Amino acid sequence: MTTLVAVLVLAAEVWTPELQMRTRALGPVAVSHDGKSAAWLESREGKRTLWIAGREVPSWRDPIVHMEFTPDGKLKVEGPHGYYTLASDGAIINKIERPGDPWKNFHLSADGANYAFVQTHKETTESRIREVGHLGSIQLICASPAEVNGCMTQPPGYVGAMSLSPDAKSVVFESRATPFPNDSRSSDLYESDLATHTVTPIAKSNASETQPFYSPDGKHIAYLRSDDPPLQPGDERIVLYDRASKTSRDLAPTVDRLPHLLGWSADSKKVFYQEDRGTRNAIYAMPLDGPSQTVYAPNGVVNRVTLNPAGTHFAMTVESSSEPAEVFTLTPGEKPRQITQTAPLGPPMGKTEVVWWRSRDNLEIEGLLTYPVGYESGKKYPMVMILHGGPYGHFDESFNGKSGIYPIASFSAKGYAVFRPNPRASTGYGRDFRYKNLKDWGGEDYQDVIMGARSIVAMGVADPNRMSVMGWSYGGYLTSWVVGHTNEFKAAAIGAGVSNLLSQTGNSDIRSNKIDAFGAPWDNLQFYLDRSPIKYVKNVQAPVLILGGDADERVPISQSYELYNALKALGKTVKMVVYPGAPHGPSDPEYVLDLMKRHIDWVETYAK
Amino acid sequence: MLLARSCVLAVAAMGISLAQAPTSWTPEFSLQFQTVSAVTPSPDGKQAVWVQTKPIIDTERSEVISQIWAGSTDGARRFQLTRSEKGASNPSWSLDGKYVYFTSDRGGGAQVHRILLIGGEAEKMTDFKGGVGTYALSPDGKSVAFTAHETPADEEKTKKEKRDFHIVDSDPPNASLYIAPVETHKHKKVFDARYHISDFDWSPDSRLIAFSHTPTPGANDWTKSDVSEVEVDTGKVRDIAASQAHSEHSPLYSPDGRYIAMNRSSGAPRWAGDDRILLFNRQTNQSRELPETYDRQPYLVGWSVNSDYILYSEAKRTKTALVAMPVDGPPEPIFEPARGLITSVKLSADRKVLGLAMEQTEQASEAYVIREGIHAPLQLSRANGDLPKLPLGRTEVVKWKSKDGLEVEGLLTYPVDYEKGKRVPLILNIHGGPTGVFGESFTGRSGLYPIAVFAAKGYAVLRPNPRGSSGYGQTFRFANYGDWGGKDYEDDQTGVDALIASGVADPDRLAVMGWSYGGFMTSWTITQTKRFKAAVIGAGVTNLWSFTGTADIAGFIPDYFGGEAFDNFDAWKKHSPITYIKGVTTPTLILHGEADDRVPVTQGYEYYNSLKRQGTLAKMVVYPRTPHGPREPKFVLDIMQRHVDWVEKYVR
Repeated sequence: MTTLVAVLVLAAEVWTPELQMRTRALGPVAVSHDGKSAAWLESREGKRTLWIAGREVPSWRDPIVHMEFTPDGKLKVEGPHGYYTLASDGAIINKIERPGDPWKNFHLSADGANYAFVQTHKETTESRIREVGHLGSIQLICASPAEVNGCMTQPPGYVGAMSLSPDAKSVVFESRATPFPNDSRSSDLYESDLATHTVTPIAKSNASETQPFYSPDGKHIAYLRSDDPPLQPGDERIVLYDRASKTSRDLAPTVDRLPHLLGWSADSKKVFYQEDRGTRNAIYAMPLDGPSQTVYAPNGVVNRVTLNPAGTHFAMTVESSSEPAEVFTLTPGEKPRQITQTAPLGPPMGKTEVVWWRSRDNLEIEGLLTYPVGYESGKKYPMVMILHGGPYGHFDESFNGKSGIYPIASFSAKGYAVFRPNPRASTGYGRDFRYKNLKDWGGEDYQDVIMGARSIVAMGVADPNRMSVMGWSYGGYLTSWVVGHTNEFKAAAIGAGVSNLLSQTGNSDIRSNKIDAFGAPWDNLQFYLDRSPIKYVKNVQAPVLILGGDADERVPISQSYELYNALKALGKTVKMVVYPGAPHGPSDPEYVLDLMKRHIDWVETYAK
Repeated sequence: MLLARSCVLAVAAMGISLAQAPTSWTPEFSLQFQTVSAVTPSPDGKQAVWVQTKPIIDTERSEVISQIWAGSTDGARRFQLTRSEKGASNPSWSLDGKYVYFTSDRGGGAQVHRILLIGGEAEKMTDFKGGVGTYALSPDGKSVAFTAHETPADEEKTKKEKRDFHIVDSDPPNASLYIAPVETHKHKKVFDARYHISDFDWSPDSRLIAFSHTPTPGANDWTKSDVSEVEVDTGKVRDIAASQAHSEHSPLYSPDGRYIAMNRSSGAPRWAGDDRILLFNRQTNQSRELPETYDRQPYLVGWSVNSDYILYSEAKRTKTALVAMPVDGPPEPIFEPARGLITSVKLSADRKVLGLAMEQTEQASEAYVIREGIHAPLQLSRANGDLPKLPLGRTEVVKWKSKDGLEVEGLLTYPVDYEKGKRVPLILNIHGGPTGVFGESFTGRSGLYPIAVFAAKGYAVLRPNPRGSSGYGQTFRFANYGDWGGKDYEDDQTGVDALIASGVADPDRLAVMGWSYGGFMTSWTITQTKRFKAAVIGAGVTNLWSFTGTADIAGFIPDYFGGEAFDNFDAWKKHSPITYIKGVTTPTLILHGEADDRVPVTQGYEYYNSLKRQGTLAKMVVYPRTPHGPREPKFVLDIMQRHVDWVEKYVR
């Protein structure tokens, strides 16, 4: 009996996919107008708990879309079934049931007295036969006081993000041709008077204008404007619209040229935003006459950042490679205040450090190296190289023990070094870096990652005979490209990877991005063929594991089948696993757990 | 193989009742017709049963239901034998002719049932979870043999718990062979097979079963089909024809037990199909090939009573031939209707009566028998006799010379009340396969292409059988290898040219449409010529490369184009419509089933999105749950109507 207990305790002392599944997730979070109370949702092993000011709300079990405090300290919560007003003790004071037609973009005025939202009416005679591109729904913008009678404004297109003016007399909103991602590249901004229902364009161009926010004094609207035409890497500028003169001007550029707006300061003098910086990110403020100022730059990453409606305080989560996420509040100019202190650190974890190397063309490239648990200097370890998606994403210093497709902490516990490069095109390294592979997929980005892997070998950490490579989405593209161009990797796992750019461009829900970047296949077919990993399938030596969801519209499962069937026809070692109903990012816990375990098993079988 | 003729016919089996009779042909009217199949004479030849199939459409339902009918083979009496809402199919007779066996899915998959010919309640003869595949009563009448796949016990639980991820190509749903004694109904597995059993035949002494088997039930595995024989009591298996070099299937014991006849590929299996009849001598264990048949694609019907010849049917140009192959050859014609198609043939146990389902271009499907010595078929059924006689356009077989001088044939349906010399709009309709063939089937039937409706609206319809089609011999069928969109395209186009030259077709009012390979050719055609004012692509292959990487028939294009894409990519690129899509201006409607494993819907999207991005007028309609051949009647109706609407809008 004692022996058994001892074994169990021992077993719990290493990171495993099962343990990573149990890591607590936090968010959304909110902070009150006075900055004194915070609310957050905690999710762990499928169980959700809502906390208000440190007190558990026992009756709440639902997911939360959005929540914010009213000036008098009540919490407004948007759940799956409607809108709730909760007292600080969690008691439900008021409830607006969601009607049959879905609502979105519920916005509360700063004083908490008024609100606006968007209602989507689906066609009642819904045919089961689907005409591609047919919307089958119309939208109306609704405003208080009468929720239904107030639904009078018909927007010119499909409404995205929306903002309610401080006097609750108008809304400004993103408008796109359709809700389909392929059309979402070009958004315009419109303002609507809620009393007269007139709709006026605020920003309408070939560029994409997004994320509008009214200043608290009502004089301005801040928003983002893309490059013209909008390209997938993104080049965003904060723009200030003056409501009196109806003119716009650009504010100072941000470092990464890819800000995400958070809202205005209470005095209407600054616009807050969040942006990636290398393997971290930060909260910044952009004064109306620039340049930008850093508000908070964590030794890790901030997530779930929300500014309260008063514009005075932030709520957020902060985490690092070795420390799980905790809830913090932040008053600009002050140190962040830690609200939760609940997550145990868990079993020992390999150290993660930022490494850099020079690529073939001498460009400096950065990445994250996580050492195996119990790493001994001078000893060589098997190494797993993971490639991120996007390509306009990046690896950051988020907690290695969280659940996800790639179980960093578990690999580290099993004695692997984990190397996560941020090749050119990654976010957080500026606009030019991000645009460097626009027409060069499988070119220098490939050099960046293999030169990176070799640099870890040169450090004496990675054993060159025991390297594996894996990645999802564009990371899957690059993984299949890697194994078609070098035999340095002894195993590969390709998740929802693009294998054939031609058929991908004919099918993906963001197909136009490729055409905008590469030119159309009918004008530039050879490029599409030459840059398709499947063209090089004969070279593949590594055993390949292929993973994908059969409801993926971004990289349809057909991309995986094409690669699988070609490898199979060649008699290569290949296995393909399909996750029913899973979209581009599988999130069902059973699927995520299976993915983590399969990644480990594949590497343990072929590249240990 | 993309969409062979038999599939087209299966898709076409529809009929629906309407409150009001129309005055001219409509898609709804086509749905009122029933299709007759499986005409099966009783052992003594005095009775016959057959299946009548029709679509059922109401608020809730959209399905095709079959019922079994029975009648005397003198044509004097007939009655509906089964009436269950779920329908009944695959009839066969008990030895004494008292019972009719059939399959019916009354919940829990299709099970074998039997019913007394004089009527009464049906009795369930099998109870296999998930249902049975094919079945056959033993010649001694004591047992039912059937194929079935054992569904994993935890399938539903796994799905519910979201652990239903699956490894591609693992655990194929292989069917095994089972026996259920008629007395007890308790089935047992005959032997543990390590492959999929696709079809089988009882030995005359009921001791053995000969069967075809493939590694998996997947459509790509037919090339690996072999024939074996199992001793029912012991489960002992021996190979009958298991050559690696050939594909063998459809074994049939001779009544004297001396032979097993079967199909065998002439050489290495080719996807266009090239079969010989192989005779296996069970005493010497030697096999020999019988003389080749006209089309080298015989469908074996059964043996003669004296075991001296094998009866087979085969496509012959736009018709069907019934032929006898003596064990010493050469083949001798038995019955060839002057017009029309034989869509089903069965022999009575005494081998004296033939049951047939037949139809003609202007006559809907009905059941017939041919009695020994009398060669005129006698009609048994009145499946469609009560429907109003609406005018149909006349259909004739036309011939023309292709660009290289090859003679090509097709069916031309004229508009109703066509006036000679008047130019009319023309629809070019291209069949699937490419090894399909347009036969002289009923033009008013419900199917994807409403020929009768087009004719009623004043269109002529040309349905060519270009090189690559069945029914014109092996050489013709193989003549488009490595050349899709080449000479087969010219065959179609010269057919249109001939009709323009003869004053029938108006060159300014042309439309083109087709399903599967016909969809390939339609999408190809509009990249090559602008003379068509409208196009409709149904489940079409548009990119040979991505098609092969995603279809359930990975071996198909490599066979037609001499190698895999990674070995012979230039040919794949050269023959893919998507390569030439720049500048296409033809208004194009694209139709595709969302559950199509043969030509995945991604093929439709590739073409559609490329047209849309270029600003070409295009519309795509996706049918949920729908495989390569749409079946749900509401969808079939929608497809018919959309074909008509698209042409009316852009061509009329």
